[in-house]
Amino acid sequence: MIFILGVRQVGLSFILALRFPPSARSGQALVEFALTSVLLALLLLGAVEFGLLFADELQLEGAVRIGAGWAEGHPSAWSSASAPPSNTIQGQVLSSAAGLGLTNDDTDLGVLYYRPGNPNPVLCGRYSASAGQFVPASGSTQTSCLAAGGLVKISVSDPTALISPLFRSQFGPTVNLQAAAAMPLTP
Amino acid sequence: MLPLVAILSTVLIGFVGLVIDSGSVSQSQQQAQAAADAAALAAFSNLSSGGTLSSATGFAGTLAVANGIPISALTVTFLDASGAVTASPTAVAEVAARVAISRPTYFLPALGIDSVPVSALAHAGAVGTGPAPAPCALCLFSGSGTDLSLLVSASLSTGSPIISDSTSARGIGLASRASITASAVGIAGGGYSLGSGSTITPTPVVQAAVADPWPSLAAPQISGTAVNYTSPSSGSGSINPGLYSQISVVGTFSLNLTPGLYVLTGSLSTTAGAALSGTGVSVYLACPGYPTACPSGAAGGGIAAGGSSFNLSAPSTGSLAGMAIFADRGNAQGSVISAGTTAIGGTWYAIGSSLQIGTGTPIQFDANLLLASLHLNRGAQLALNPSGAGQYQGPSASAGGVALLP
Repeated sequence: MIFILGVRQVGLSFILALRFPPSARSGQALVEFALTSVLLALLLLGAVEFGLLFADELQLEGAVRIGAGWAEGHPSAWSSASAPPSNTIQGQVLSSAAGLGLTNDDTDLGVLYYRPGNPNPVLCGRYSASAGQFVPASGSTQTSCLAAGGLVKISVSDPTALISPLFRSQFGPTVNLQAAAAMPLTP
Repeated sequence: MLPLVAILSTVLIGFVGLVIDSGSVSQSQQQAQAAADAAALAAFSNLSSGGTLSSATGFAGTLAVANGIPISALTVTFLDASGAVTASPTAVAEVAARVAISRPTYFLPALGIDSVPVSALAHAGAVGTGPAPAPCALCLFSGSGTDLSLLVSASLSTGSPIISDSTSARGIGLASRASITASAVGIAGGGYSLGSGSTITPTPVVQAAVADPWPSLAAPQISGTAVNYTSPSSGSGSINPGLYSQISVVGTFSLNLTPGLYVLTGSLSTTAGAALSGTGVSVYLACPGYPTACPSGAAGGGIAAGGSSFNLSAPSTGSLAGMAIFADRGNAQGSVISAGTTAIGGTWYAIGSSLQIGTGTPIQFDANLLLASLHLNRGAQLALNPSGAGQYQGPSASAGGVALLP
């Protein structure tokens, strides 16, 4: 479609070249440049914006994998501290996601425990940083949720700021990047 | 002009589409690898607990679903010690989990490519037994969980042994294309997992857990009021040994630590563009209550090296000769190294906390690392070359080398 438009414009430019003096043609070029540069700038901004978002997303994916790996062997190593130590699940995730602005709260970081179910795993309980303790689902206990044979899932939700005003006006100041990884609870 | 713009725009849009689609495929690859890792471990741990091939396959499927991958995309294969497929649960020596999905594309359909196949393979198994490979260049003391992990394409190399104390089913975990090369790799009764194209050379063996080699090494004692130091944003300068609540090097400032002992109750950080160097320096990472010892698991001093360079070398004489970084055993505050150029000469002894190596230029430590856990981020490269004379020799200098107890 763009190419066809371009062919039409060739014809138009040729006619204009016959009818208008060079000064008019340079004005036309300026208008064309103004129109096309908007498109090019939009593409460039989009590429940069998406590139940054993907980089953050990949870092988040790595962070949840490290957190899940740690939780596999330390299923009750929790911390509700804003700067959790590295021997806790939260500490492993936050240090791996350094620079992304994740905070240790129930909105940004979820530590969820499931038991096998059919077809999907069944939520058994979760650690709540706001409550500072494990919160079992109805009918479950912390002991039963953390026993071998279940699984632990680390999920993060990171509101990431968009850099260009154009995208901010269209999609809001932030987009919510999410990542999750699960590991088995082993004996 | 417009025809040219029309043609070039088409090319440009194609490239933008390629960027977005390849980023999306890369994300799917990570998700598939996470699912394969978890599924392989789940199947093997289920079998180790007396499960059947059916229950192991079912548990693997549960983990695949929990990682966002449909069961239909997962294939679990049980292999015996010779690598042949087996149907006997007691003969299983290794489980291979393969995830194969098809990722729809957003822009590439314009070129006739509607989807891209994404696959990941992971193996899980019990390690064999072997002789104790001690002393170690890298000793990990967390005791459980994945205390040595390498994300995609990360590499760790050393000519000396690596020992993980972990007893979990995945003491060492490698994502795809990651590699470990050492003279020997020991895991204390635990196992390991490998992503697609990742390698551990040589194959890990069971190794008795190592104990703290220097339990009698006391915290260094200095007195005074803790100084909170933040550098100017440009220029260069130096500070003297002492007690600090924080050392923060910002902007493009270049800070030199004059020789001696630096006790930190907070962070030692360099931000992008800043540089830190020190020869004949030991850093002790304490807690805010110093000189009182850190309670177990406390968040005390840590290192966050994110500047252009971070170069420290330990003193060659004195009670801490060869010790570059020494952390209170109860201090669980992790450290992160992601500076442009990093060189550490001397032992890093922080058995209660983790160290994370960020993506960046290759990092070389002419030292041994004794940590709770070590994590290498995507693409990180770490080389450990402990030199006998340049590392800490123990409280008794006549010990003649680091003696790690089996």
